[in-house]
Amino acid sequence: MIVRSGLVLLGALLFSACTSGENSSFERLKPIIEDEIFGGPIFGDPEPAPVPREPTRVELNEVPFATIAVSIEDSPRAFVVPLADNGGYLTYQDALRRGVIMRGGLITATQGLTYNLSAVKHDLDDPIVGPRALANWPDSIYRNYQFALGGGARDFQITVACRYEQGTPERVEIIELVFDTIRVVEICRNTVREFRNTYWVDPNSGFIWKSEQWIGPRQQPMTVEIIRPYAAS
Amino acid sequence: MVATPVVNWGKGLLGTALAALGLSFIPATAEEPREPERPTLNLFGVTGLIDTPTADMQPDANLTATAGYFGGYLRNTISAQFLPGLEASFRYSVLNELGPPGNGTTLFDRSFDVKIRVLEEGQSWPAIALGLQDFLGTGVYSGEYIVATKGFEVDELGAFRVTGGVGWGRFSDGNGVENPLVNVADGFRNRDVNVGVGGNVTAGQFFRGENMGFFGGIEWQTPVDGLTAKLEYSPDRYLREREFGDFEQDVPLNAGIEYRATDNVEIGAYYMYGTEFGVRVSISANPFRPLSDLDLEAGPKPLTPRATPAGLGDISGLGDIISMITGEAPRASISDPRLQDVIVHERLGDVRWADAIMTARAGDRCPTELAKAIDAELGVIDVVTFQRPDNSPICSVALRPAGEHAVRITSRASSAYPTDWYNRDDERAALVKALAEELTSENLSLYGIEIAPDRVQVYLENNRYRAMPRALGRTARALSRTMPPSVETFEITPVEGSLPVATVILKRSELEAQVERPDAASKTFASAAIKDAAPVSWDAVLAPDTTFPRYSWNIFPATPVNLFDPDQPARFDIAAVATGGIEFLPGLSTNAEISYRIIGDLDDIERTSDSLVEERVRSDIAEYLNQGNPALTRLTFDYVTKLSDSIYARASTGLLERMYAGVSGEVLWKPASQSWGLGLEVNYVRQRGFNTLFDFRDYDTVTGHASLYWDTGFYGLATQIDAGRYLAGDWGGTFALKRRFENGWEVGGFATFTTIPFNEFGEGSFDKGLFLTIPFNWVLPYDSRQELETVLRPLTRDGGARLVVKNRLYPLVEDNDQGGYRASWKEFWE
Repeated sequence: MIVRSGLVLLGALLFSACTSGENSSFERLKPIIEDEIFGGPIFGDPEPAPVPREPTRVELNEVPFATIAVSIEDSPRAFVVPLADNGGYLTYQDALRRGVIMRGGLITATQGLTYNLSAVKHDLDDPIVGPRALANWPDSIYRNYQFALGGGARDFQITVACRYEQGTPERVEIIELVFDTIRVVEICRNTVREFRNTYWVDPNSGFIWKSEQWIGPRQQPMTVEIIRPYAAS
Repeated sequence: MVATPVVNWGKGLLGTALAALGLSFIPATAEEPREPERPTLNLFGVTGLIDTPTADMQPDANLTATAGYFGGYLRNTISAQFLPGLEASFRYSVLNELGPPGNGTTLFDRSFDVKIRVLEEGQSWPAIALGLQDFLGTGVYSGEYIVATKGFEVDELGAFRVTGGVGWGRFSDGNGVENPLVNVADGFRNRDVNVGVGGNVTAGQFFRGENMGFFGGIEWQTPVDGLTAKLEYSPDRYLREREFGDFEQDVPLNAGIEYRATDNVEIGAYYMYGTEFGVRVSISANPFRPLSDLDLEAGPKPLTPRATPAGLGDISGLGDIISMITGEAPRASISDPRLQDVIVHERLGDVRWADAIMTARAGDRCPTELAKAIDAELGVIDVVTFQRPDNSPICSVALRPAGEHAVRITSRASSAYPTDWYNRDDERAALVKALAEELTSENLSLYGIEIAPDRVQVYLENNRYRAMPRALGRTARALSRTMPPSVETFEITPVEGSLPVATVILKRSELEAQVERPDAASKTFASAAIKDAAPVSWDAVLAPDTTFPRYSWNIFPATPVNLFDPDQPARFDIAAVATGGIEFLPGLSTNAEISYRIIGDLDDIERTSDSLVEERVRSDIAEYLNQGNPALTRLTFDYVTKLSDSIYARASTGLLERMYAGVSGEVLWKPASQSWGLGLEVNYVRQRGFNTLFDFRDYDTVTGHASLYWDTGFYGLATQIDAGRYLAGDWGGTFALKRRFENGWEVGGFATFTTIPFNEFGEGSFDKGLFLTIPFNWVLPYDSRQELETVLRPLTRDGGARLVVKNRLYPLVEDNDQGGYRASWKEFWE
């Protein structure tokens, strides 16, 4: 880590420049220098930003769009709305242009994160993509996760076969509303890897109210909760 | 299982379903690639044991800087895995008491190595490599070898690698046997160790000598993570070192341990030849492994699809459109009497489309059940269009996502969206303003624009994204959000230095069908057209915010270095550099650069030129460094333009570089569709005074070159061949070869041969060097087009010296062609 920090500092020094353009190197480097070298802010604004208060259901109901909440590990929920519907692929994005692409209940891409999932190729009858009553879910499905890491790192794909474990009834609360769901665990594996996705599913419609999904080998799973379904907007 | 599945997939259905998804071609083991093993290095800085090489290779593209020391001998090596099976090294050694015989002085020696993999290691056979050590240099370390290495594992003890080899030259001193090649030709007995001024390829000495010797050893990768132990037998008797110095050698054995402290740093300690201790430090980097693993770039704003207008079926000839992507089994047969004929053809690339002609009695109801039957019995069918006997459409049934996309494209492309907006000036102006704002939010600039009812031509300035396709993709998304639905064709032309370099033509309906889908980038590249950008009359198309004159400036730190001076092998300055420019009109500008040394010792260089070349065109560089602070390193008037779709031109005059002023003209022919181009440059220059201001020396000359540029498409290898007249009036050619990576890394070398004889050129025999470019986005967690570029010359002499021109044309266009865009197109949707 010392070496890496040193190299980043070297990079920061070598590459910093004042320029007539709009992309001032120093402004872009400032948070990196602070985080990598000094472990925190040193160029002013030392006070950490307050954790935003989570909105109430009443407040969320005033949002005139479909809304989902996304979080990674213990991070606060981010509430985002769909900005585009491209043939069923919904782009949810926040003001910093971090977001997810969802098709049905499946996360098919992430944006603006450290490592991004580019796309997911799935079976025609993937029950996470096309909602269907739990009784009609297939035995198993295949998925192909595609990653484009940028910065010169090589792209790669991960193909897995997924099967479903027996579901268990579970009540989930999503911002003051309670839903009776079946908790279904999807076990995906190939010859070198296994990961699990968890879905909280309406057993009759197959609608997924909440899910915790794998989004890549270098990212923590992402949790998605449906505040207001897209179709209901 | 949570439920009984509806469909019990048999093999056939499974196969069909997977084929439909394109999954069948993806091996079930498709996975994140494993990090390749990175073998350890030796004291020469090449992959090896301690003082001898192995047949192992570093991971592709790996770069390593090594300092190895023992017995008073310091070897500093830069090594590159230039190709997966080719390791190349440049070494600068400081060898105590190995100077000219008898005077006990230090020898500063430059040498090059190369190692080629002959056979990759297999389950039951070893890796085999052939190497040339110090094949280009004074030959102090010269030797050739063939080496084999095989690995095996022992339970609980860890992994072992065993190496054995046979060598000539330095490898033949001890335990030698007769060189079998002397039986082929007696001349193989003679190996001349005197190579004069050095710098030549000593091919005439390869595999020569009375004897050849054997070497080998074992490497133990201990169970302790990163800790390696080595034991080797070295046949090198260090005869010259023992003759001229006080080096002693008791046994031909070396042993040591090495520790890889981090992924990038390796240290080693050794006991050498029973008399000496040795140490080694190596630092490595790899273009494929960015130093910064963060990505602080914001994601792209979404592509906004157009609404599909009502009644499009009548317009498109598809009839009612129905999607039946269910994976269910067919419940009808193709032998149904309502079906008169079926014609299968491919549209939009590889979409299999069936036209099913119904009988007159079939009526107008869409027979969706027959679509499944046609798909099942005629192979994979993506879309079925049912037609009446007169070929009028009844309906179209999409059976797969590819078919759904094809129907969407066909319908939207043929839709008659309103175009009345085009007749209103204020509405067009508002569109331009909105687009400019959207591009600004993506850190891009709208340079110019032409709008028509069904197409838009955008001239784009990208000062942010290393990969131009990323800028193109974000521009296409911005166009989708701002342009009226009738605008179906997006033509995007990147502008580099006010030169339109290439035009990418994208169909909006295709983009709408590709975005967010799997394999979107490759599909978009297949459907895009890339052509030469035509010369533009800028007055007619400039965006409102693109005004002239426009100004630019930049202040940045610089660390110029001077290497390989025997008085002090490494000197450097810390300097501040300021650049500024005024562009009066598109392509017409004045540019200046001034540098000021803040601290450093480049002005301490005392070594004066000993050049035998009549004109000291470069070897007086020390005088310029001594006397030129501040240094006005550029003050030019420049003009660049396009003479035709694929011909570019440049004219520059003024203070062109630190040492020369004059007039420079260049023409470049480089069509976007081809991988090669031709250039011609002619300059008349006068040598500047040492104070690097406005004084001049007596020397002036005409210099220029014809150039061939070729991107081979093989592992990113690009070549440049220049032929012409150099600064000293010598005629000749330069051959350069470099490997270019998608993220901007460049590693390569060059050599120049001119009419100046080797002995007149002086030490090194001919001009040569290495170049290295490191892009900032490899180091920092955000995108950038800036880069750190350096040329490493073993010697600065006067033969083969070329004028430095800072705005040559080829660098502007080399990534803006079909090959360049193909290489980085994966970033289009990022």
